[in-house]
Amino acid sequence: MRVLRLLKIPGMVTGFVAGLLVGGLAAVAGAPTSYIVVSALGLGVPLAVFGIIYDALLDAGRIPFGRIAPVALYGILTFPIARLIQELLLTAIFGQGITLQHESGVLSFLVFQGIMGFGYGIGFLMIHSQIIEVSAWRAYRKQAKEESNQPQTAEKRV
Amino acid sequence: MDTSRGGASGETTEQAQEERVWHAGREDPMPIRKLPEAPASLHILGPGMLLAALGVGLGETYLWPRLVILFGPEIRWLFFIGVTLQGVVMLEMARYATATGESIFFGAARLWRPIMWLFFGIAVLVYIWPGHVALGAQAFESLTGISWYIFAIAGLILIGVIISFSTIVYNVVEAILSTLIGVLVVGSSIIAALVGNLGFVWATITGLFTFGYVPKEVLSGPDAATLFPLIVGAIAFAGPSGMQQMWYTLWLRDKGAGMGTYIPRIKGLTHMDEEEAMPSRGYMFDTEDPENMERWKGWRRWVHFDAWVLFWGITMLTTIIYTVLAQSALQIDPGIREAILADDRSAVLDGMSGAFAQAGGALMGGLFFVFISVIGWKMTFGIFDAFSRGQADMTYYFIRPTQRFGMNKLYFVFLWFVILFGIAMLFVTGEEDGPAAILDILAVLSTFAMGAYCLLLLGTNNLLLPKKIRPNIIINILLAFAAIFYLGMLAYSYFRFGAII
Repeated sequence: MRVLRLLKIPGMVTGFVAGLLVGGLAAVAGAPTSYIVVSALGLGVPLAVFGIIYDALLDAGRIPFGRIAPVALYGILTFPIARLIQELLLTAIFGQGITLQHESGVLSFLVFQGIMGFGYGIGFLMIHSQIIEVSAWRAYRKQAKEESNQPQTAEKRV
Repeated sequence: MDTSRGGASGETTEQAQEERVWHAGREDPMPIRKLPEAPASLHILGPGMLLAALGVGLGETYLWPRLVILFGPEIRWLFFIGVTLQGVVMLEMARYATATGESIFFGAARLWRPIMWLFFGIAVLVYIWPGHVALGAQAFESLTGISWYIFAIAGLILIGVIISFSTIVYNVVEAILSTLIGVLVVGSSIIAALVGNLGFVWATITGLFTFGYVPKEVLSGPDAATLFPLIVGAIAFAGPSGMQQMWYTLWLRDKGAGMGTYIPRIKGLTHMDEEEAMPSRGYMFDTEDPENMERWKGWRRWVHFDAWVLFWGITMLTTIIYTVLAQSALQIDPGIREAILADDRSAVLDGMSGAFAQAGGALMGGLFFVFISVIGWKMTFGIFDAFSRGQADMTYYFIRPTQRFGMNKLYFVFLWFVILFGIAMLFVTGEEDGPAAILDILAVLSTFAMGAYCLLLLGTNNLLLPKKIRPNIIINILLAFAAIFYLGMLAYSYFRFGAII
């Protein structure tokens, strides 16, 4: 199922590029190479993995296409985990993270990251929807409509 | 309403419907047609998204962070009021556009043509300047060291090329603006996640509800004459500023929302041969027909989603993120406040960028500049498209000899005019005068336009639409309040301090 494999790409790319953004900026700002790599991959890889899972859920019909609430919730739940992984990696390697040590506790860290994850989720959806629009989604829908009896997620342009 | 349901289908229906019209104001009556069904799903892609994408701009990322740094997050309640009123305005703009398929400019002409020409004039005065793209390019210069003129001119030409080579212009504008705002929201969420903390979010949210808080120095004292107009301008920049709401009606039409489905769409230069004949006015549906009214309810649901979830929600979200960023910047570098008070206009940009560079272990110094660049360009992209749509719309319908050129050609005449004028202006404007000076003038005229269109909406939606689909009394009161809010502040600023900027 080549089309299904293609469908996994938008979520992964969106998540990974978001993580790399951090690394790219660290590079522009002249941070040490090791720090750039760890901070970029520490956030980029988990976000990419969550992006793949998002696409898989979309594919399985667990998340409706283009709806805001589910993806916002997804962002609230997954973004704090990605950030925590990044902070723990940086702390383990360089002795201190970015903001974890400034928060009053892990819980308040996670709550704050969850709120930012809400924003991340919405932004993710905006980019993701556009990539899907021009990628495999249309072909996939057409194929799925013809071949299977799986219920279609409602994406109807005005 | 002087209508009755047409025949069953086909030609008979057409003939029957041609005889039935809705008389609205001074222009040609609107023929009665069936209201198409509203889309079943509430999808993220829509004109509301486009308005949010255009609206989230320098107000949210530049003017309001400046105010937060000066006065604290409590000043945000004014933003809350401003954006909420804009949500109401958006619903009413959509009411007219979805019910008629006409732009609000056409509605203005139905009341009295000079009102429409007033907006035509304001649009020219306010929107032909390349202020946004220039400020964006300046931010890019701070990052790369390469002269901002090059980025600004390249950015302007890019806008013309992208739109000229598109098939359906609206689709391309929607795709580009949605993607860029997505990148912006993702990027700023990540930065805020790296510099902020929970306390900042709490201060931001409570700040949105500290109704009535106005710092003393804004109303009296040596700096009041500078600070009060600054606040007035910033309120005008809360959400979609100036005439952006009016252009929303044009996007609704091109999206095919409501009766807009009967109006052809604007195509790219390379697809002009496919242009369809433009009707000489909009359409109305039979409000006595229960099926039509059921569909109307569906469209109102769609528009409410557009206004409150897409527009209001996304704007408030971005605001919270940028208020967190501003507070972080102030905490890291308290010197920003003094720099802003000393009227160093670029202090916010430099200060926030510098503060983030210190905060995140040099992680984020450049990102703020990248965002401002992206915002500057996308604002110009969206505004130039919308400006050209609006001016072409008014020119086509109300300067009759131009109709032989067609709406499409007129759109591109305005588009390339504004691009070439922008390039010419960039060569003329000195760097010392700075694009920020242009933005302040823009803010004042924006405030006036916003007050004026609230009054216009009271007229169009209460006088031109059938009774059953007119706004209720609460909406009318809110519109009147909005008009007083915008025009009153502008007048107070002028008479109290003798300054409008």
